[in-house]
Amino acid sequence: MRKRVILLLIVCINVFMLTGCWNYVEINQQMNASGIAIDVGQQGKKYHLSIEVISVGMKAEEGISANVLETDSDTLFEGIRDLMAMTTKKLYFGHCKTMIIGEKAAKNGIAEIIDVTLRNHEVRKELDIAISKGCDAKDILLTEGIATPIMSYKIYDLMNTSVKAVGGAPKTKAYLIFNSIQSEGVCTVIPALQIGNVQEKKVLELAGVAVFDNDKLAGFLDKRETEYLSFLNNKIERSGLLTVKVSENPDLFLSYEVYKSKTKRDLQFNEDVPSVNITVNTSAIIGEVETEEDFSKPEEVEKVKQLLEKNMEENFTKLIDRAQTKLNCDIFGIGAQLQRDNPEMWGKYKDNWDGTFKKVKINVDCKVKITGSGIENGTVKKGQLK
Amino acid sequence: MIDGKISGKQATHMMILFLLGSSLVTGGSMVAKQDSWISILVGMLMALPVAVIYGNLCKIAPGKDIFDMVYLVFGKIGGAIITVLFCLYTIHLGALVIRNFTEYFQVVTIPETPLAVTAICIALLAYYNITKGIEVLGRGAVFMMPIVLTVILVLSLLSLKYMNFDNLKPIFNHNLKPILTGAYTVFTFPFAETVMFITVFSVVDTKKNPIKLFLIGILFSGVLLAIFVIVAITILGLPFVAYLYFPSYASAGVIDLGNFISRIEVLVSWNYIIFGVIKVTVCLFVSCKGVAKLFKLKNYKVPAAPIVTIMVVMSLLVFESTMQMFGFLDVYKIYAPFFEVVIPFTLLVALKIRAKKQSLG
Repeated sequence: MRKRVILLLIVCINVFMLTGCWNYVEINQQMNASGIAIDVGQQGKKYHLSIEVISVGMKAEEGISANVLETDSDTLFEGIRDLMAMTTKKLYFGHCKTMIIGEKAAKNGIAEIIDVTLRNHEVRKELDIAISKGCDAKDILLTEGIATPIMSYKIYDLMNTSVKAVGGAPKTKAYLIFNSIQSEGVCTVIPALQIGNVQEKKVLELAGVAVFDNDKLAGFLDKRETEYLSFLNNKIERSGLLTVKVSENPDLFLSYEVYKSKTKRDLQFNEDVPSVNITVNTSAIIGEVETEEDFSKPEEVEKVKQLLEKNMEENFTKLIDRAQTKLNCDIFGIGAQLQRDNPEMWGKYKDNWDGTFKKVKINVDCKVKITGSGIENGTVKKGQLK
Repeated sequence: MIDGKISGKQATHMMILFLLGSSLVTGGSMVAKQDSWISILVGMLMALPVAVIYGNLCKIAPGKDIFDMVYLVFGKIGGAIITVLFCLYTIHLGALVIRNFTEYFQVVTIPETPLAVTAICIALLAYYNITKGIEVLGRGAVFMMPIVLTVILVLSLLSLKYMNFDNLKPIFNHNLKPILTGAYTVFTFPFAETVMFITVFSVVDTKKNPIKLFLIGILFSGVLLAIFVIVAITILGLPFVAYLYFPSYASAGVIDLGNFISRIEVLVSWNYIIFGVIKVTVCLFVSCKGVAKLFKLKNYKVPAAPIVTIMVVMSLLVFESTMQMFGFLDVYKIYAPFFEVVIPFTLLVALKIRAKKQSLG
């Protein structure tokens, strides 16, 4: 009998001390935030915060809908508190998957934004971050989704699937950005989104990447350049697509499907500044042909291969030039590689890596292996079958 | 195992879980940055000779706990003084451990719950363990070990694809001083805290050499701790890892497979609870034995309730903030070696001299 009383007492005490009850929030007193957009504030405040909030309809027909709440504030925390005061509901960020930072806000610096994101224990550090190009971040959230009403999840899917499809934007979790902002040897690169017009409807599309100098926006790379950047950084995961203009007038193109690419970077220190020899080994399949070639002949294949090699080398060199002269940012992480593999040399250059990077000689050598031409051997020869 | 004895295997399992204990919560020492794993291995090696000292003590005086030895060597008054000091050490260590774990739960999962609540829960469990006898903990440790190892293995394997081993470079680049500083910190906390196990071994009934059991415990947990640090550094990268309060927890959070297996860092909390309870119980056990010896009590279970209450209250008072808790390691490593190294070494020398005198005379 005594044992039963004690047991009952223990159970009762446990019920009251059920750790976690202090944090209890009813589900209808809570709103799930799915995405955050940060812009430059109006009315003299620092930030303009737009948060996309998911609400589940009470009746079955209503389904899921998303609303965007906006506010201006000096700090992000203050903004979130203001919104909670406006809507009288607690904002829960555990399901927040994307954060979009406006172009102008990015020019002012993103270091504080990243710090807040990582310090809070509710916001996941695996948040995907994107920069809006040519428009405000909140416009991106306000675009109407095609498949799902929740824009943030659509953006998340867009950024994650496109990596595999077109060798596009690299991984951008918040904690990785934190590391690259602090690193002197590499410049942060974050995917950029823009709003395009398709049949008079506003549609979201990936528009390359934004390049940062420390934590301030320095410039953009378009989709092609982003792909070249992925090649040079050895980040091609599964496939990419390269198109080469074969001849002008009429414009004829050749498309190659890249399914494997490995890049090696060798640093050398023969002169005062390091020089880098980049070797890109790519395997490609011929995808789309507009000229007339017979791929059973090895000379034809050789011709096509050299065409691609030359084209890649040209484009890579153009990108490297742009990074060195116009953007002045080490987006290839050569400084970081130097720091990892040869720390004594890095000690020499690290105080002025931005200045040194401009003078680094980068040579690119592309080696392409054409491993196939789809399931056809020849091409459609127009009106030549006699 | 009913008559208050545990087996050697149980003691080793307890030791491994004890060592993994709060060093995972306090994240080890990130002074050496990317070479922190080398720090841990060096600290482990530094602890091996000390473990040999402990094992020898257990071998020379089987069935006697550290307080018996202290009274034997230092006499009644000296023995009493040293026992008081040592009990203060173990009680405050128990309080620190309780604070580590309650702080972890408050910062990471349930911010509004007062620290006292989690502390009382852990303390009640430790108290129950002690009143039912140390054999309960021994059996519990053997039971928990496969669970803990499975969780560790699953989390490490699932996070393989997020690991970027370039983060570990440059390896050993003029980093000797930070590595050694980190190694010393890891040595005092947690490896040399196996001094508690001298008392635990007084109830161990085994034919195996206690030195071997100590060495196995330290080596196994040292390697595991180094693996944890490597996993954290390769997934999260520097400098983010050094800024985090709880790197193991954070590195498990990255796992997201097909949107289905995600947010499984809760499993890490599971592990932490197991470690915490075992560590607090061992500290409580040693404190109880010491106080019982001091006040000449027959049963060591009698002072368990007051001691655990002191531990809980002390855990609430001892730090003002999370920052203070993490900064305390720098202070701890100054005074801890007195209890972890000086006292056992003195005891060993004195007992060996005694044994020689007795065998000669």
